[in-house]
Formats: sequence, C-alpha cells, structure tokens
Amino acid sequence: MERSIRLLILLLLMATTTWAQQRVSGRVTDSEGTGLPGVSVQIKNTTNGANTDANGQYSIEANQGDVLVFSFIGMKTAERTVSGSSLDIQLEEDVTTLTEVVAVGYGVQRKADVTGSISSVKAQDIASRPVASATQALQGKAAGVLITTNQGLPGAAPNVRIRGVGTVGNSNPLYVVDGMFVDDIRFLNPSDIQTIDVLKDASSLAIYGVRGANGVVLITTKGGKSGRTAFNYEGYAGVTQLSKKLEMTNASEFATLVNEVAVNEGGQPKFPNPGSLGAGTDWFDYIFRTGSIQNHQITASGGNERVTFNVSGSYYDEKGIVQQSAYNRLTFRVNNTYKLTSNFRLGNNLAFSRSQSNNIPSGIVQTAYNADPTITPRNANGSYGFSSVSTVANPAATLAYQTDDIVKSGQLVGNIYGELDFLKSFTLRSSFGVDLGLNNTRIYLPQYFVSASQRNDQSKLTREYGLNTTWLWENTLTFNRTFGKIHNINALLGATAQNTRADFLQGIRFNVPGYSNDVKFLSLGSTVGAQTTDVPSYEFTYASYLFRVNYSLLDRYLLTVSLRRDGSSRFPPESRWATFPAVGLGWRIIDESFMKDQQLFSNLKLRASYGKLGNTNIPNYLYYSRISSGQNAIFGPGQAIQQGATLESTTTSNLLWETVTQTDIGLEMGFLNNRLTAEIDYYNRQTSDMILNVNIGNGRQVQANAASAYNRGFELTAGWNDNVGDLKYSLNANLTTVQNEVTNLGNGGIPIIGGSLGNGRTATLTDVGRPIGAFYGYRMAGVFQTADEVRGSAQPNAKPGDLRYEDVNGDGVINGDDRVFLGTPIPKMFWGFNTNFSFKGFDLGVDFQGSHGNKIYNGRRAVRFGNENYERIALERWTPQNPSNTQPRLTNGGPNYDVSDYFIESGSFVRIRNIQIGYTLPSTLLSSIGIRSIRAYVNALNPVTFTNYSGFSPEVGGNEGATLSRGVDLDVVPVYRTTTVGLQIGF
Amino acid sequence: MISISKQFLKIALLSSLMLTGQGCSEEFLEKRPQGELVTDDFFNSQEGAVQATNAIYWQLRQWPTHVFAFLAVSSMTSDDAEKGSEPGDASFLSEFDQFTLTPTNGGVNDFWTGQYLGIAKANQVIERVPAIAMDETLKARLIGEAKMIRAYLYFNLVRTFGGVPLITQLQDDNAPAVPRATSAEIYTQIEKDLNDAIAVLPEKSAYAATDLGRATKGAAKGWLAKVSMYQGKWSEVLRLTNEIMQSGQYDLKTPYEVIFTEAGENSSESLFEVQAAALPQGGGGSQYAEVQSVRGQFGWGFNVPSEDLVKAYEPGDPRKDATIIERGETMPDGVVIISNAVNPYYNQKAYVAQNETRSPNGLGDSNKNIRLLRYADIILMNAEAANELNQSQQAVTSLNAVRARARGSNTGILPNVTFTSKEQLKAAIWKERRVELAMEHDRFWDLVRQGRAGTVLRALGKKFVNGKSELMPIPQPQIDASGGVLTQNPGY
Repeated sequence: MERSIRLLILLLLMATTTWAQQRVSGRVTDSEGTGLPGVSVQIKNTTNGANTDANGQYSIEANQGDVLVFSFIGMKTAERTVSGSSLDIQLEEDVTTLTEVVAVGYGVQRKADVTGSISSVKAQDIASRPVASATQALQGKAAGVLITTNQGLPGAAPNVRIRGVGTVGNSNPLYVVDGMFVDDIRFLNPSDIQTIDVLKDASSLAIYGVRGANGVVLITTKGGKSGRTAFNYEGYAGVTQLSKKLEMTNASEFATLVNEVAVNEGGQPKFPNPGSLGAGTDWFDYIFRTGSIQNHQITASGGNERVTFNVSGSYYDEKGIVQQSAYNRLTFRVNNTYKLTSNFRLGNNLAFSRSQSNNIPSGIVQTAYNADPTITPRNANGSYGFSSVSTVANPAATLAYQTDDIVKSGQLVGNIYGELDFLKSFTLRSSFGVDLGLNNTRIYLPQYFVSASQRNDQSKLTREYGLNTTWLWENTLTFNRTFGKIHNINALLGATAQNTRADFLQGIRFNVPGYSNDVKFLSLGSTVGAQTTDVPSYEFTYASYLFRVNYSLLDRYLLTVSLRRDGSSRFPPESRWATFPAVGLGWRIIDESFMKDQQLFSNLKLRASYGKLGNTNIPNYLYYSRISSGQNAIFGPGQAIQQGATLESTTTSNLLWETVTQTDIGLEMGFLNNRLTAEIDYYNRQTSDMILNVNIGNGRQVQANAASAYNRGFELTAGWNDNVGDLKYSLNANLTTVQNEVTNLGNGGIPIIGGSLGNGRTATLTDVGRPIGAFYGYRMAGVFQTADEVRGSAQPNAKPGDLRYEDVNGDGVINGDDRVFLGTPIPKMFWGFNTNFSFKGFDLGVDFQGSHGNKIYNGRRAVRFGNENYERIALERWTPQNPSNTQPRLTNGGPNYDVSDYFIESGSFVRIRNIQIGYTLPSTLLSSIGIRSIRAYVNALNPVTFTNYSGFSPEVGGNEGATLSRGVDLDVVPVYRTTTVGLQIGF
Repeated sequence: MISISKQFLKIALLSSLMLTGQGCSEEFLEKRPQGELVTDDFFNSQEGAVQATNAIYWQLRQWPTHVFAFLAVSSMTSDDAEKGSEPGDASFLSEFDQFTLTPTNGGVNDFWTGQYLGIAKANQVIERVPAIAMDETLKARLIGEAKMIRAYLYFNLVRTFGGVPLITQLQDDNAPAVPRATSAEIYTQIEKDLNDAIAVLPEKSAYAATDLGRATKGAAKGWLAKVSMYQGKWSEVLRLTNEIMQSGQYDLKTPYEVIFTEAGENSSESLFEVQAAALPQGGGGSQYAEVQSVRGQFGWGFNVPSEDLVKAYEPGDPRKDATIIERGETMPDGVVIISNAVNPYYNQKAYVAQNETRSPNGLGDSNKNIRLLRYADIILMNAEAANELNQSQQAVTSLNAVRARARGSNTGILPNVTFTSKEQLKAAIWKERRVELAMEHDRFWDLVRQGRAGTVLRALGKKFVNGKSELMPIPQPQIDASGGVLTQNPGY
C-alpha cells in the first residue's frame, strides 16, 4: 500500500512540466545508500520540478544558486543549493513529521490523517536485540502496551496486554503480519520486521471487529526497493546469565530448621547433628548455567521498476540458563512485488520457519528451590541421593533422566495478493493467506529408580503430530479521490473468510528401548498398554464484511467511520453475527488560519474516537453440550475396563462474544519545528458481557457472559530529537496509567475465585469495585508472642510465634469474613524511556523501563507440602529467643500459610532494559574494498534491575489463559541477562 | 495483460459476492465438535445410558472423592488413625487429626467437591436415561445404580456436614445457588433413593460376571440399613440386615486376611467396593494405596494406625496383624518393611503386594479396590439392632459369627461373647465394630453416631468440641461460590 501511494505520487508529479536553464543531475539515496525512486525534486519557490528514476537518479534544469527541495514520504525534506552540475544527496528517514505513514489495517494512512490511537515502532528501534520474538524487543517502546516476560526460557512468548486487562479470559492481542492473522509471532525473525503498528482505540480497531477488543499488533515486513541489490549480513553472539540467584539455607541451617519444625509440630528432631552437615548442596548450581545465544542473518534486497524483492535467511540458536533448555530456529523469507501492467500488481510475503525446542523437566526450577540441601546429588557409586525428610525429587537425577522432551515445528506463513487499479480512483485487492504449522513432539522417559517417590518403573515414549491449517481470503475494494481540493474520500469495502483446522495424533508405548534416538519409536515398544488418541482436534471459521470511510475536509477536519460485521462458528446460529462500528474525529488545529502566526506549535491535532469491539478468544464449541469421554469404569473378576462418558461441563447455550466499548481522546503536539513532539491520550475501555469461567459450587464451572469491567487511564508519549554539533540524539518517553475495575458480576455478584496455589488455597478474588484478579486474604497484624496473647485473641488454636491476623469484622473469630483485598497484580503505571545518541561513527542506545503499583504473591514461599528448603529469611523466624513481630515461627503448613499479605510484596521495578553501543566504520575506508558499511556493537539486555521484590524477577505475568493468576509467582523460570557482541555488514 | 487483470477483477468481485451469499456463509460457519459426542446424540442410545452410568463409577475412584480428603474426613479424625507421614508433610491434614479445622482447609473443599461431582454424574443418569428408548430392565437397573451411589454420596455429606444443598436434578447453568437442606431432608432423600434402588437392582448373583462390582440390591439394602442405624431406626436395620443375611448372596467364608488383597476383591464378603484396576495402559486405578503405603519404601505414609488402635485388639486377635503393618515386619509376599520407617505403623488394608498387578504409572494408579461396605458390617449392624430391640439371642449369634470368622481354626482366641446385659452387649458390639472394621472409613462417624466422639477423642488429646466438631466446616470456597447462600456450621 505504501508503495502504491508512492507510485501514485510519482505518476502525478511526472505530469509536471520542466524547462531548461542548465542541467543538474545526481542521485538521491536513503541512509543505507539505496537509490530512492519517485523522490520529488523541486526548485524552491517555483513549480519546476522532477522525480528520481528507479535508481534514484534525477536530472533537472536549474540556475546556479537555485535551491533544490527534495521531498519524499517517510523522509525528511532536504534543501540544497545548486553549485555545479552534480548534486547527490542522502535523505534521512523521518519518524516524527506529518509525512509519517502508519499501517491502519487494510491500508496505510498518513499519521497526520489518523483519527485513532496507534503506536508505531520502527525497525531501528528494536534492531539487534538478542530476542527470539519481536514482542520481547517491544517492551517499553510503546505507550499503552504492557509486555511481561513470563518465563525465562529460550523461545518463550511474552505476555502482551494493550491498555490494561480487558477480560478475565484470554486478553492476548491479535497479530496481523502482512495482512495474515496469527496468534503468535515466534515464527518471525525480528530483523525481517519493517514496522510494528499497535492499534489501540476503537476507531483503528473496529476494522478488526470481533477480534479487535484486545488490540491489534500490525506487523509489516521488509520489502525490496528498486535499485542496486543490497546485501546485508548481521550476526551476534553472546551469553545469557541468571540475573539474581535466591539465597537458600545451606545443609546445616536447613537441618536445624527441619528439626525445629518437627518439634513445633509435635514430632522428634530429624537430624541428630545439624552442625556437622556444613554447606551441603546448592541446587541452583546444578540446574542453572551460563547459556549462549547466537543469531546470523543474510538479506538481499533490490529490484527494478517492475519487480522488487527482499530475501532473507536467518538462524537463531539459544541455550538457556536452565540445563537442557534450548531453542533454535531457521527462517527464510521471500517478499516480492511484481508490476504486471501499469494498473495490475501481484505480490507475495512468504515466510518459512523451522524450530526446535528442547523443554526442561516440568517444574525443575521449583524442584531445585525446594530440594533438600543435605543430600548428595550423585554418590560415588553412581546412584542419586534422596532425602530422608522430604519427597522433593533430586533435581540432578531429574535432569539426568528426563533429558528427552523435544518439539520440532515447521511453519509456513504468508500471502499472495493481487491489486488492480481501475476507473482512476478504485483499487481492488485480493489476498490469499495461509498459516500451515506442523508440530512433532517426542518425550522419552527411561526406566529409573531414585527413591520410592522418584521413580519410573517402565520406560515410556510419547510421540505427537499436530497439523494446523489456516487460510484467510480477503477481498477489498478501495476508493480514493479528492473533490475540488476540499473533500478527500478514502473508502474501503471488503469481504473476508477464514478457516482454521487443527488435527492431532498422539501415541504412547511402554518399554521402548532408549539407548539412542534411532530406536525411540513406538513400534519398538510393548503393545501392552499402548495408547493412541487424536483429540483435541478442532475447526473454526469466520466470515466478515468490512467498511471504512476516511473523509477529510480542507485537509484539516477528519472523519473516520468503520464497521465490521463478523460471523463466527464459535457462536450459536441464532446469534452468530455481530456488528462493530466506530467513529473517529480529528481536527488539525495547526492548519487553521488562526494558527499561522503563532510560533509555539509546529503541530497541533485533536482527535477523538468511540466505538465497539469484540473478543472471541474463547474455546470452540461452547454452545454445544459436549460429552466428556474416557471416564471408564472397571468391572468383573478380571477387573476389565468398560467405557464411560457423561455430560460433565455445564453448557451455556447462549454465550456471546465479549464487547469492549472504547472512548479515546487524544492531543498531538509538535514544538520547535517538531524537534519536540508529544501525544496525550485518555482512554476508557468498557468491557461488557465478559465471559467468566465461574465456579458455581459443588465442583461445577460455568461459562457465561456475566461481568463488566473498565480500564481507564492516560498515555503520554514525548520525543525530543536534536543535534549539538556532531552529536545527534533523541530521547523518547512513554508512560501509561491503568485503572482497572470490575463494575458488575453476573450470576448474583458472586466473586470469582482464582490464583490457585496448588495446595487448596487461592490467592485472588475478582469482585465488583476491585481490579481483575486482585489479591485477597488476611491482613497480618504481627506475630503472637505469648500464650496469653493467644488466649485473648480471635485465633485460640494459634501458638506463640504464629501470624496474627486482623479480625476485620471484630467478631472474635478469624474466618473467611476477615479476608480483605490486598492489592492488584496489574501495574497502575508503567513507562519506558528510550535514548539514542550518535557521535561521528559512535552510537549509544539506552532503554529504561519501569512498572509501578502492582503486587506479587510470593507463591514460592507460600506453598509448602513438607520439608522443602527455605529461603534464608527463614533464619529470622520467630523463636522464644528471637521474638520477631514480622516473621512467624516455622511450620510446614497450617494457618501461617493461609493467604495473607505476609506473602505479598511490591512488584514495582525499574529496569535498564537494553544498552547498545556501536561503532560504524567510516565509509571512505570501505568503499575501496566493495563494502558499503560495517558496524560493530555490544548489546546488554536486562543488565540491571532495581526492585524490592525478593523473588528471582519482578516480571510475573502469569501463564497464558490464567489471567486470574497474574502476579502469582509460582514455578517461574527467571528472566535473565543477555550480553552479546554483533556485527552488521552491508555490501 | 489487460485480459488477466479483467479476469482477476471478475474473479475477485464474484468471490466477494459469493461470500456475501447468506446460505453459503451460514454453512461455512457451522462447525461441529471434532472427536466429541454431543449430549443430544449421546443420551439417545442404550450405549450412552450404560456409559453415563459407568462414568459415576469412574468418579468414585478419583482423588477428591475417595482418596486424600476422604481419608482425612473418615479416618484421620478417628482414634484409629493418625495423620501419618512426616509431621510437616501435608499439614492441612493435621487439622482433621487434631480438630483444628477452618473453613479454608483445602481438604474439606476437596471432599465436598468430590461427593458432589459424583452426585452430578448420578443426576445425569437419573434425569436423562428415563427418556431413552432402550431395554426397560437395563434402564431401570442403570437408574437404580445411579440412585444407590447418589444416596451413598449424600450419606457421606450428611454425616460430614449435616444438612447440605439437596441437588437431585440437572442444574441449569444460571440456576440460583441451592441453600442447605436440613439433615432430615437429606436423610429422607437418601432413603427414597435407596428404596427405589432396592426395588429395581438385581442381586449380586443375578449380574453377569463381567458386571461384577456394580450396585446391587444387597448393597442398597446394606446402605439403607446403615442409614437407618444412624437415625436410630432399629427395626428397619434389623429387617434389612435379616433380609441380606437370608438372601444367600453373602457369607463370612473369606478369611479375614484375604478380604483386602487382590484375591479378595468382590468376594462373597463384599457388598460394595470402589472398583480399581492396574491396567497395562494405566488410568484404571486410584491413588488410594499410594498415599497410605509405607513411607520411604512404597508411598507417602498417610493415615497410619494409632497406638490406641493397636492396643484395642484382644490378645491373639489375627485381625491386628491383617490390619497393621509394623516396622521390620515380613509381609505375606515376603517383603520386609524397612526398620527405620518414619511411622511405627501403616495401614495393611491399603497394602499392595508385590505379586499383585501393577500399572505403568506405579502405585499412584493402583489396583486396590476401596472396600466401602462388607458383610461383617451388616452382621454387626444386625447384632446392634437386635440388641436395641431386646432380641439378645440374635444379637449374640450375629456378633459371635463375626468373631468366629476372625478366630478361624485357632480356638484359643476370641471366645464367644455371652449375654449379661444390654449395655454390656452394646459395648461389646461397638468394640467388635472397631477392630473388625478398623481403617475402613467407619470409625469417626460411628463414634459420632454413638454419641461418644468427644469423650473418646478428647481422651487422646484431640481438640474435639462437643456441639461443633461432630460436623466439619462448610468449605469457604463453597460459601463464596453460593454468594453467601450457604451458612456456616456452628463454631466455625
């Protein structure tokens, strides 16, 4: 689209006449030295002008001393005085001016004309970050976009929330890569990305209708430009390290504490002589390591006026900080455009990726946290030690036996499209996209015996094949015309259809030989106990109609009306279709005549939008009353199996999509010739008909459109670009506030219990007037010091040293009625501050990021089943000799482990997200050896974090689909630090 | 080239229009579940009716219904058993052992949920199967099976919590929370279900061998007898137990130590047991045995026999050895119990011998059937009812029948009891119930029924409070889920 607008401008300008004084010629290039076609070259204060050709060459008749004005969309306009017959110029990319173009979904638009709220991130803002997924590099880059790294595992996808948490269900945004809808962008090599545009308000999202409620991340990959073929190599390599190791008690301390607990709980000491045990085993040393990371990529791009291409290949390889964790990925991308006739174009964007993920044994970090430090990891005779006081597995044995859990995936994502211009103002586009994914999993567990509780009696092989197929066919008709230089209308009409199907096949056999991968095949296992299954498999479809009109009056009064009508197989026939309208208004105040004489503003625009969006991120087939199978009974003297199945889930027959109604008011400002830019938005997202998975008691769950909530807040973005002599610098800041509150709960206002700790306790409650997934429990009021204190208290069964809870209702009993809200897991405010400096050949970029106001439930400490190891803070426990009023006596369970603010900590942090220092060799040195550019750099990702949180990392997002467990820190593989050196070479 | 673009225009416009065709898109948007049956199809055949009934039995061997929480509620609370394992391991279970329960205890909620999940599955059969066109005899039997199990699960609930929400129908997804019924209302429903079941269920011998383990007329009568006993309806107890004893379906011929082994599963002793199997592919068993197995050697070591139980046996009573595993003991299968086991005793009735079948998932998926109602219990109920109704001769006969089986060929032990007084005989029957049914999920509820739980349990240092500890707290998550419709039991 961007290209088509350029071509249009080119055609328009070609008609301009020129007349001769003296011929001046030259070449216009971009910052990479590639020729820019279609650049307008005009003699200042005249109508005389020319355009560059496909290689960026131009030629114009001009007088000496005339000033040539070079202008091109997306580039800063430059002026040069004619002196001599040759004038070459390099244009700088313009990311701040009014000419900036943003993707708006089914098209592009000048940012100046946009009535919605869109955050754009360019390739250079996320370049060279050592991450597998581009979303990770986006952290702190865009206002309103909160990205939290869930798991510090190679290739793990971060959690993305746009403008708060809109639902208790799946709040993930939709990703649209070159027009293709995908759930996940890990197939994508981050270096292939040209721009990322995050659509945030109703006006920009309504065109995505029932899938727009959680925001849309539009990704445009790099295309070719006509001109000389440019080759680029970029590679980096480095190390990954655990940023913070938790301090656990050593063997003799642990033994002392276990003895104390045993006595506290009425037993006998377990260890006769704790002092003799020494330091023992630090299990973290056994599971963590210094990981490695490397990435290499080669790109070739170029083209002529008929054909452009961008071909890239990359290889990413990461060995994680947890032993055995590894991820590698090979990607190929081919983006082409073909201009078949003057009005008919074809194009394709195709990406193939192949990845392999080596998974760690489930819960291994938590196992190491819990493991008994008094045991020997491996004895001299080769056997593994096991604890006499706890059933926590020996992590060394777990790692030694559970070595084979590998997922290999191949994915083809892309589209092929055709565009036809006709009747001057119309363009018809048809795009057919596919997303084909093939997954192949192998899990092998050998036969082993460590202890009664850590054993596997028969070797077991599990193999899985999954095939996911999506096709998306979109047909759009665009009309674009200006009437009488006053009215501009850009209208879009479209129809789309999507079909997604997933098939799965799994086989399991026992007693499979495992001495090499060559024999890990089901066929070699025993047929006794063999199992196969081919569910879950599913299919869903969407059919949609689109409509949008952008109308601008006098280039300063802007109106956008969007509408999408969606039908989804996820909803019952009688309520299958939904319509999502939105309207956006804009006023470019700066272009008003009364602004002509003022000097303060260089840009001033007010915009507002209002509209409705939907969310269908829910499981398929909910409106069908489905039977749970596999509930087989045993009968007969032979105790044989008889098939069993029944209706288990409660079915909601009239379940609908969730609706988000959003209001946005924004003000865009530029000062000092746009050296300083600022943008302020107020947003109010109201979610209604929120789908709840409600515990309605007696073990039953129901899904219902039962709740409403809002997310409100402000987004501020400010940028400063300037240079002082040779020092060029830019400072960009963004800040977002979120106020999240549930306004209504259906089902009689029954609060939703969430945040299961896995020990029968739950840490969050979602209730009216509170944030989604707010922490809920007792408030601690010190520690009981004496038996007298206990006697007079509301906790008559307590012992001295136990936590004292606040008797909130003063009824003399501590029970569920005394629980209170203890904070929110959603940051109230988060921000990013990104700086770039360049001086001659040197460049420096430092990115900061912060998050404030959210709490973390330290589930790691709050969940104990037996004699797990302790963090060193346990040494400050209450004892008669150490009458602490903040740390309770040690027990392995009981009321001290009830959900209370004793386990709640602040989740606020400030993190230096990234530092990059680079040096570009002077081009004069290189041109002689045929190299266009060389840049070397050093990058540090997550080098420093400032936080009071005592756990590994304050980034605790919660797992996918577990919105109500956000901020519960349980079995999280910590986020790590990555240090790399890299090289970029252009030929 | 022009023709190509015209062609393209035509195709694209046509296809857009095709998508617009309402009929086409409605078909395109209709996607049925893949690899899953839907209710209308499933509950429309005899096969569906049988499978839905089987699913109730599946629920019975699940963790929340009959494993951890069940052991806590029915056994650790009693004077027969301690929590077991390491003192700090699964501390929430200590609250059952010590009567310091609070409504947030996860075990109480698990138990509640486990019983209601079974009730919901029974309701599916009771409500949906009547409309299915199928063999009427089979239909009646399946509904009868569901009713008997539903009655049993409500019996567990009413004994544990008193009055609970009485849910006997399919619940609409937006039905309001059901408040607690009275204890009497629950008992009325239980009796109705059991009488319905008795009317239609076949006797044990009338089932095909492949269906051994399903609910029977005898089992339903046995449960009704027990339910009647808890309400002091002694003539009912006597009538029902007499009928069972005269039915010819059961006897006391199975040696006591065999009853709890794999060979003793569904023996002539058995009225009802939860069926579990160690299937070669796994998934047919339960974790019942693992959680009780010798800690450090086989399993987790919870629910261990108490010193008080060990002392309760008469000298030479072989039932002690068949019930209690001691440190260093050589088991019948030749296994020697480790001498440094964490706990002094373990429950032998949950022991899985080495020669029994094993699942690839290990002991966590064990073959052990969970014995819920057996013939000796019926005979002891018969004895107690007869004694209450002053038919002391029958009482003594029944009591001595149980002692005789325990005695076996060893004439020097467990002498016959003779009648001296009604009270003395009652005490003897209660004592016999304890040792005969030790570790069989009867004792705590039995003590409460007998009205002496406080006396007995406080003597062992447990914090039993009369008027409170007879019932357990209504789980807080259930109160929360009901929006406060459920009320808490007194004292919690």
